[in-house]
Amino acid sequence: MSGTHPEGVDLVVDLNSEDESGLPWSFIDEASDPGLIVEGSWIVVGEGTARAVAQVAEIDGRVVRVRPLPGPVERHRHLLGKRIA
Amino acid sequence: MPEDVPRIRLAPLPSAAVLVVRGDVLDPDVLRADATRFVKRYPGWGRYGVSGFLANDDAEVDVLCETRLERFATVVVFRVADLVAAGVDVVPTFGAPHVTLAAIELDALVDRLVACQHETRANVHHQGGD
Repeated sequence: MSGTHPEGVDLVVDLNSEDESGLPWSFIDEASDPGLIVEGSWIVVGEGTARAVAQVAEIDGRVVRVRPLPGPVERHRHLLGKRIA
Repeated sequence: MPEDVPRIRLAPLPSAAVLVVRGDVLDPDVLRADATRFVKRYPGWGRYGVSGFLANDDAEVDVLCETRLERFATVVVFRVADLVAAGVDVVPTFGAPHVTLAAIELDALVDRLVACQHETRANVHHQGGD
């Protein structure tokens, strides 16, 4: 994990970012607990002032791609900890 | 394995694209973290970079705020010409309208972005709650 980890964030992701997949991405070592980062799982992502619930779409080596949901974290909190793959 | 250079679109920036939008505020620490993550992902390109999105006008800024940038309470809007004048490369990367704002030196990129003329706007489409 690099730098200070934001409270309540499972994976630090710049929600502006995208790569060739069209999805935001980060590195698995930016996770508060790498054990949470499993394809299909729902986690809280974000950085700065932005937060979102997102599904882990793909793990490609150290790169993690996520699919964020629109709306506030509270709306989707029931998904957290689940794995739908 | 992921490639070590970003995919750059063959078409140059459209001349009508005069604005670049990025979600959140211009926080130097966040910019530094994002640019460092970018160069770690794409070491073969030799440039630091952060993401942004092209827009032709305020109507397209609004569309970005409603869709791709909905999770941000604020967005920062630059003029492409101001970024270029400040020494920031605006490179069309991945899928339109995504761009990478790039420079060779990390400090130069962060300092130029923060110093570049910009407008911070509230995102009226942000649903808040966090």
